[in-house]
Amino acid sequence: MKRRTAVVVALGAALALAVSGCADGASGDSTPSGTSLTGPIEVWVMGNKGPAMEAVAAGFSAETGVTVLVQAIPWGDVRTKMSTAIVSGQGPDVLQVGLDRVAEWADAGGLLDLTDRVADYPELQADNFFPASASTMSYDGRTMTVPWIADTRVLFYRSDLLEEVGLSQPPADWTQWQAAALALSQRGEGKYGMGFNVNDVNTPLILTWSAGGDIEADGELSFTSQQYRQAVEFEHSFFADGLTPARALADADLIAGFKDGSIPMFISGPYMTRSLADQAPELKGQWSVAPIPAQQSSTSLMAGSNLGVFAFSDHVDAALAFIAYLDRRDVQLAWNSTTFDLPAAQGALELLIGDANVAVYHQQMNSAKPVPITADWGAVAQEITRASEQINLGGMTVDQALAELTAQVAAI
Amino acid sequence: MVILVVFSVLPIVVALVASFTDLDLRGLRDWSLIEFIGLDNYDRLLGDPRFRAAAGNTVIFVLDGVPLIVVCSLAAALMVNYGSSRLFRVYRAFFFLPAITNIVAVAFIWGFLYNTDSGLINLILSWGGVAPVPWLDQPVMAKVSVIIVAVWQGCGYNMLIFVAALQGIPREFYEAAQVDGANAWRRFFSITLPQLRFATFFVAVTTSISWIQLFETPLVLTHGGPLDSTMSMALFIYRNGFERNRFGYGSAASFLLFLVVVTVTAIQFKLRRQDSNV
Repeated sequence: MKRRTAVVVALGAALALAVSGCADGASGDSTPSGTSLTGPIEVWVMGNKGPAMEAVAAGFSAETGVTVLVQAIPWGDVRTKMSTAIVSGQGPDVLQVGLDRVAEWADAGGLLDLTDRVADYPELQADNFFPASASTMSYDGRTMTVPWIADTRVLFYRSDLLEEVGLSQPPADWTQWQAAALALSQRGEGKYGMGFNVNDVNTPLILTWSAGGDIEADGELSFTSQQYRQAVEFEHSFFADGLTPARALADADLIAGFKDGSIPMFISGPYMTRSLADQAPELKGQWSVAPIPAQQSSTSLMAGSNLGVFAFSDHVDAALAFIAYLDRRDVQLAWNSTTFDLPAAQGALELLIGDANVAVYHQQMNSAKPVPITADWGAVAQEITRASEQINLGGMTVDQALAELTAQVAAI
Repeated sequence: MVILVVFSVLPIVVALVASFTDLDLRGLRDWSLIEFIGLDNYDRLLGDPRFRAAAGNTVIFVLDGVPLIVVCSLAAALMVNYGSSRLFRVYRAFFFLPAITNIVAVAFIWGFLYNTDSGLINLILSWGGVAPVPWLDQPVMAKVSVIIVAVWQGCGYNMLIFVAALQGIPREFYEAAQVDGANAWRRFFSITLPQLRFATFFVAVTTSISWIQLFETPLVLTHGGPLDSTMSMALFIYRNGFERNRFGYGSAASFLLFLVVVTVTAIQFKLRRQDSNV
């Protein structure tokens, strides 16, 4: 009994030595100052990516000796958890931030200003990332977060059904898009041409950009441009002509409609590739993705997540080293292989474009734009979806809905 | 007493104070940013068409939901009280099950059932030749759908209250009535209903209070849509306070809601007292 205890103690000591030795050896590579990193650090990752993060974090711990505690936060709880953390000062060290929330958390004082720190890490340089991702790093002139996962929106289409109505190519411009949807909807009762959502926030943005306009000019949001009107009118024409179901379509509805052919085209992101592979394997080879059809240009949304350091973190060095680790090419690729998330680091993504779908995402990201980086984006997004819902479901005229949208956004 | 103050009175006072400020996320962290704006929040609330829509929806929910709950739970109670065999005990458990099932799971499953294209309800209706019903996709229908789920869930608990009250009615009353030649309807209206007066009152009060604060069902089922048709007052507070971080504005709305609950309850008690004095 006694001997066994001694063995355990000895083993433990040896392990501790090995770990600390490891930490000393590796910290020199990860931190420029050569100081050893102190932990443990806590990481908040969103959605169901907890196990994947734990797997990746184990590699970091092995390299640096810093323990990483992973907490997975359901998407629906993010806002509450973050508000509580900001108010109490008790939170994670590293956190995942959706691009539509970067400004909100930075404005609320939840993120540490990294302006003077990122220069120390080659992995965190702005020119590693797509221009659109890189532009989300700063808020109010300060660097607050660093890109991690890249995401965009493209056109998903059933190539076999398009061929059935005599189309060998996906629509490349708006005229073709409407014509394709019309032809597809004429296949019979209950068949639609497209799957638009009555209250989506991204579609009007993507269409506005693709019409050559923007909702943001000189830091001010505006919904009075000709292009924004064109965008909502174009989207509404699909509802008015019965080319798309007049509903709020959840992803499950899109997948079901894609499967039975009733919804042969819709706009979605890379995560849908995974969902279709899992839930509709029989469709393999019958669908594909294409860039957003262009009016002036094919300009989609740059979505995804950045990483930030919590304002009240006690382990800033280790937190930054961990972020740099997550943005390292081999780790970005490892993350992609388990989660199918696309790397924000351009160099890593380019290694994946052998896949035809990824090639389209890559092409689309080159010209994509992020949502406006403004603290009130959450509230603005609610107003945009509301205006769309009024037009597409409530029967309000575009004039009236846009006037109301402008007034509501001005009141935020 | 301390517990009552800390957990019950204090939050109300805090909400009242917050409702006079422009408190937001930044203000929570740095109190110096908070400004007192007097009654501005209340002023804006009363002028906010969305708040008025939410209030209107809540009135519709309560006016439909409370009578439905009373009728349904009473009917269920009479049914399960009819016999005492094992079968009736199974029925009782069956009716009570929705009340103890997690609302999120309930709303999730109903969401599937209600789905316009692939939902079970529309599938069954289609066998009867009925065109797909847009259960959650159209403003009026969505309101009906939310009420159905909330009634379905609220019945079980109130049924138990009615069952207990039914069992408290002395058997002699019925025997005497039978001897006098009263038929089943007559017995129900002349004995059962009057004897259930207090239980009915209790059910009406508690159900009114919970329906004025109707929250989880529309939140999970429709998130207040489409076109704010299922936006209840409590959901309005949640969306402003927690989704837009407008804590001051949300507090003002919640204080108004609190006043409504207190008022409605007071009125009901008053009616009850008059009633029992007669």
